[in-house]
Amino acid sequence: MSDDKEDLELQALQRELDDAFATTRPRRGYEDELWLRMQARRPLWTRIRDAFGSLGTLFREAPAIPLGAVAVLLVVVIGASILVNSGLRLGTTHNSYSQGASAPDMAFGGGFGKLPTPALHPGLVDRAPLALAAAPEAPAIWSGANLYFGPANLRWTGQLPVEPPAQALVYRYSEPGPSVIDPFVASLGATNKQSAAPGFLGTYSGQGFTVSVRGTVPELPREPYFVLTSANGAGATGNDPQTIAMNFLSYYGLFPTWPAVGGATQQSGQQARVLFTRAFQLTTGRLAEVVDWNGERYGIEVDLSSNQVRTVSGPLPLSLVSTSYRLISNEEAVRMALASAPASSQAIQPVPTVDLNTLEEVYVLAVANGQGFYEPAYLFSGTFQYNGQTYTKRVLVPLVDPSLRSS
Amino acid sequence: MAADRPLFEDVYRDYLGRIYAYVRAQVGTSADAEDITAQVFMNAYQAYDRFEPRNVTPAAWLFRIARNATLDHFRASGRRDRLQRTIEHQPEAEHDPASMAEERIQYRALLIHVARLPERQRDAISLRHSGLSFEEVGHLMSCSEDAAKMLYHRALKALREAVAGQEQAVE
Repeated sequence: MSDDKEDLELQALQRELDDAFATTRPRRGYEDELWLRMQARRPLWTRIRDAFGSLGTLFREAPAIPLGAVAVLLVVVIGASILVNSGLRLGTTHNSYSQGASAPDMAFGGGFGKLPTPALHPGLVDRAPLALAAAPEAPAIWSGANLYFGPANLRWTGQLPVEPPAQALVYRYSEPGPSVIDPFVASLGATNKQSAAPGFLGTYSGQGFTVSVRGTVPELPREPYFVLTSANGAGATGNDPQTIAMNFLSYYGLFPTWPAVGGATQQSGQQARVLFTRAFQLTTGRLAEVVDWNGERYGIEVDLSSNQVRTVSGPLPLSLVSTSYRLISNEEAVRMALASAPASSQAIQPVPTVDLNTLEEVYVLAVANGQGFYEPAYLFSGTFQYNGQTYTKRVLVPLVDPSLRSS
Repeated sequence: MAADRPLFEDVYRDYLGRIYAYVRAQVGTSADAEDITAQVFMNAYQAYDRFEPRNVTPAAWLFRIARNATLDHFRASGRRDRLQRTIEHQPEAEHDPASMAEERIQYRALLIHVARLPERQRDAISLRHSGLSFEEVGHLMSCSEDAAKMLYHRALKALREAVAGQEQAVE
């Protein structure tokens, strides 16, 4: 072989090697999975140190808080459940990690820059779904009745978690365009584009259904989502609302690709709603559910009438990127909760005194500059009596360190 | 904390893919590659407060940890032999859950040839194509920059012959 030919072959091989090493990457999700595992295996002494809060607040772990009072019938962890499974796998195959050595002294966060501050916006109503003629209006029992966001004298009487998290992932999406929406509606079998329903980006029809897609609503805020209206309930077999809902979602490939807490069913006469709430996983492996501008959990909702699926609505499946942000301490979160301004000026007189005694780990959406950020927060709540009725007061405290937030 | 030391998370995000590719070229399965990569970053995480960016680049520092972890992996479990059997019979592909879980690898056959090279040749190829300079490769392999270049070119020729031999066998 001539030297020239050999040189050319070696150069070609080098290019191929460059490509091989540049394109060989771990499976999707491994990066965040490993990062979470690393955070979860921080040395015990750093957790103890931080629990007392006297030597710095950089390393903490997540609290042991009840995840809410909703009727959770089962937990389905779908798609992104590799995050959940990862801990188990690590436990059996990675037993050589040092747990006694000290962790490095480093700060977490800021990968997305300053974050917008999430907040509750009581009183706002998402009216766009009502514009869809076939979408039934939710019965009153499904709305957040007797929630109070006005002024109150607040006291914290609950039990503080022992090990709060040092940091948590913030998830970001960018506003979807046709490259996201078109494949999504095509995957449902929707082929005909119709004139968009008011407030929606587009409405498409397929055999026996229509689906409307909406972009972010910043004032609520709400992420891009879809509403599928079924004419015949195709694919909805089963004897109970939950089974029917799950079969319907499977039929259309709409089962959530994110960790979901699923199966809570609310019924009112012939109408039923099955809710698969969205969640994100914390470094401890627990799930923190996503709440809306009223502090209500949400996700994919399946509305049925006489055991026939009428509508399905939920977040549009979007690609998320994540990065860690440093969190405030428990004590700071409580201070912020007690000092927080009321989310609403509508007041009960005399101003009630409320014992906040429940604390839940949640994620909440905040929007800025065409991007949405799912941020960790604490949702404090407590009840009080007024005119013979029980009211619930909610206070949302964003957990990302205020220095990493824009306002 | 050293003032010029980047956040560990930034280092992690920047280098995870490259470290994984390097390890993946050494071992036979993506499951092993995941295990070793996890070990690499766990070790790096624990040692980060001792990392001095003035003395060594993050790449060189991480690849040293990766190289040691890979060597430990082979030493500890005698997987070289198993790897050889794996490569020859390639039974793992269907049974490797991580591989089935969307591993992005387009040059599987080429990396198998890399994995079959003698240890130092394999290392030279892998480190060089992971983006390290010959100086860094030599430093990691305890030889001079010139020696690293020679070793790399011998490895490249050996790899070309292996690939050509495979192609002839197929023909």
